[in-house]
Amino acid sequence: MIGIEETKRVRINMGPQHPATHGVGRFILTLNGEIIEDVKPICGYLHRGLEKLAENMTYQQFMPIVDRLDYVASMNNDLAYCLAIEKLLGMEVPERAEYIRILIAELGRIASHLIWLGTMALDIGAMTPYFYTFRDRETIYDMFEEICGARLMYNYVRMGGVSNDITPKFMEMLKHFLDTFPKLMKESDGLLTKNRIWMSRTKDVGVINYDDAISWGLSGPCLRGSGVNWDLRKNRPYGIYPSLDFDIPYLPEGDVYARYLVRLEEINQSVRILRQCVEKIPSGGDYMNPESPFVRPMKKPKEGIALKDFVLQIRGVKAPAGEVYFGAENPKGELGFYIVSDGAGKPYRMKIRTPSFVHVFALPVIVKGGLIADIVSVISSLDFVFGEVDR
Amino acid sequence: MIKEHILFADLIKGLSITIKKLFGPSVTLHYPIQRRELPERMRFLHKLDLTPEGKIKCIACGICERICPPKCIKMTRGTREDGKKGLTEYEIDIGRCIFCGLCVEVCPEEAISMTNIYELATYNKADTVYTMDRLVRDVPEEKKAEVR
Amino acid sequence: MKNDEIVGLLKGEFGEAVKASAELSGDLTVKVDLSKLHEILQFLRSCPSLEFDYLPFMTAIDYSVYPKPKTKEAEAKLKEVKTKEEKIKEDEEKLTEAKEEEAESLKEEIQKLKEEIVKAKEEAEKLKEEAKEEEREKQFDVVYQLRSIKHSHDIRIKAEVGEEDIVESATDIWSSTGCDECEIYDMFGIKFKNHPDLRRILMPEDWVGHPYRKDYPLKGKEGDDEYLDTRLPEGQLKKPEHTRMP
Repeated sequence: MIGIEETKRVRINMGPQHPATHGVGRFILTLNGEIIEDVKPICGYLHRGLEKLAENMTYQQFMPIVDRLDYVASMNNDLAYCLAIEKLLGMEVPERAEYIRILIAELGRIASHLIWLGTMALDIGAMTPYFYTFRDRETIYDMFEEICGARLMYNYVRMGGVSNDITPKFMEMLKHFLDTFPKLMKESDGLLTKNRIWMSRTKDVGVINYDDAISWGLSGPCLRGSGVNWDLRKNRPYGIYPSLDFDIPYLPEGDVYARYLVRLEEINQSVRILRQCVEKIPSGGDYMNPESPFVRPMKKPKEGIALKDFVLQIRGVKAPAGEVYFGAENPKGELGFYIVSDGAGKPYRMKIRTPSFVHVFALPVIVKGGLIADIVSVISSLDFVFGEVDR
Repeated sequence: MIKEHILFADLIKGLSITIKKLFGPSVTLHYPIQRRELPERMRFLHKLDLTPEGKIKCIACGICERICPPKCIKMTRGTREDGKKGLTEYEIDIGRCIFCGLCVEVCPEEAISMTNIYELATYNKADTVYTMDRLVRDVPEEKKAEVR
Repeated sequence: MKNDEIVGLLKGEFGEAVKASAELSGDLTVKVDLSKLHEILQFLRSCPSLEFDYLPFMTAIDYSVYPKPKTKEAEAKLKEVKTKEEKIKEDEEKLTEAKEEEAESLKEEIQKLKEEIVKAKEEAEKLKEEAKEEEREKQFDVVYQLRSIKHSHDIRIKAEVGEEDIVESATDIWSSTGCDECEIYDMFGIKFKNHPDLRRILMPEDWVGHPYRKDYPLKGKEGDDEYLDTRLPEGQLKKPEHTRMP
């Protein structure tokens, strides 16, 4: 028998061109045999300086750029940004627009979770669910295409409402989706949830306990997967969420499997919210607050256009001086905008609090002491997007 | 758990789902041959609209140039062939454009709109710059000089 | 806990280190002294009735070009006074040459102007005193947004920081500040002590300058393209075409 006197630590570079990092993330792993001793996340490969860009753009001009944060849930990004600006300006939104916003936000949540489910299964080794989830996501993207004309970068929500009214065809598609989707979701659920390979790859892997999850600033499903009952839709309610009936799933285990189950349940809850919205949505009314300075000013009757409308578009809507922080519950976690305004049409400083940025730097504490084979499933379960990490 | 272990219940369940899919309808399209019908609101290549008389609607106010977030629109103003002052050249760099649609939204004359032409790949980088002649799409090639 | 109760508790504990507090659209903001910042944060975390256990984000703000409307107003008022004084001088010169009827109206005008000057000077002094609030000693603000998941309340802590100051790291209180402090160090150049791994995380490690400062140009500095060219991957012959916003 050959005895091993000493073990050498090995350093492995993972990324930036690694499919399991969901973007251009790079991790330097220090290994002791198969055990991970340390992880050093390195990011910045997708850094575009969005916060600096925002300081040089009017509030409205920055709208399309917000889509590029978390590019698999652009609708939710738009909504969070608009809600932050509305909080700064003290603007009101008509009822129909509120319902449209909830509709698209929850659809966006389902689409984002579907991508997460497909890619996570693919990373762990189950290829089939990937096709099923992408088929369902496609129907959601078709709906978004119908209302705003883009597949990924929507630029649909506006300060004071939404840019276009939803069409009857959209409602038809949505009703059809709500009828068929829960049945289709059972396919991926049946393939994975009780599968023994899936369970052994995810159960008791990447555990983070209640206190650590809070201290490391996790948010969204990752926080709820550690047993914290915290959802900004309930705890800091915005929009018309208080009038809707839904539950917040949370599980105390804190492992990959718990995060997986929480997200699956969230999809079901989103479907429940969508059903209520379809019933309650007012059939008529404004989709945009007519007094909002962001309402398409140039589409007035011709004699109504004045020089001030041009100036408003070029210099931007003047927000009152002050500062505001608004965090919205995005599929990935809490997306917050901290805006400091000096009274001009551009923000003086904008800090974008993104969930993925915090999650990437919480990775070392989650995977420390685990096996190298498990890091892929932990990365997938944290569900980060590098457009958000590097901003 | 033991029961599942012996009967392979989880594997049988998974396999039955995948085998069912063999007989279902196809959900994919054979792209270059089959094409999807696109919704009306699609935001792809820009188009300069014409008045009923067949002239360009654009009044060269320059607001689309100013609001464009990636600054991909370039507008030149000057004296046109008929002696009036106005738009002489209009360029959109599709390589920079992010297709946000803000230029369409702010235009006071509704002179610019977006079409559903999405196949914009080229072999040449210079071809990504769309000049006025290429952006006017409603008239045949030989009549394009008349729209100015 | 209500906002004024939190402020009362803080003021009772730390006295003058808590400089000011305000409620901005529902968010409680408290300005504190930098020297006591770490103690205050520790108190906020550990006090059982507050227990701010969650830190959504922390950031810095560069206030070097923040507009000062009241200082401007005071300056404008002083200018007004000067022009009026000049007018009085002109009128007095005219008075020596003027006839009786004109002289009386001129005298009245002078009297009016003098009264106005006295008023304007008073206003200017008031504005100057108010403008003192706008004056800042230091360039930056560090901002901590805190939240208590247990008690469900929020607070924002701000402290003025200069370029030379070294802030004590809060990683021992909330682990999530680690990445935020790295970002602040990277983007603003504010240094933190007792931080386990302070490095540039978004920019390359040998990058010169701090991009989110207000004096850093939006389109980058002149030498940036050459910097990028010297770091081409091995074997890449063709230099990339650097695109800057036009």
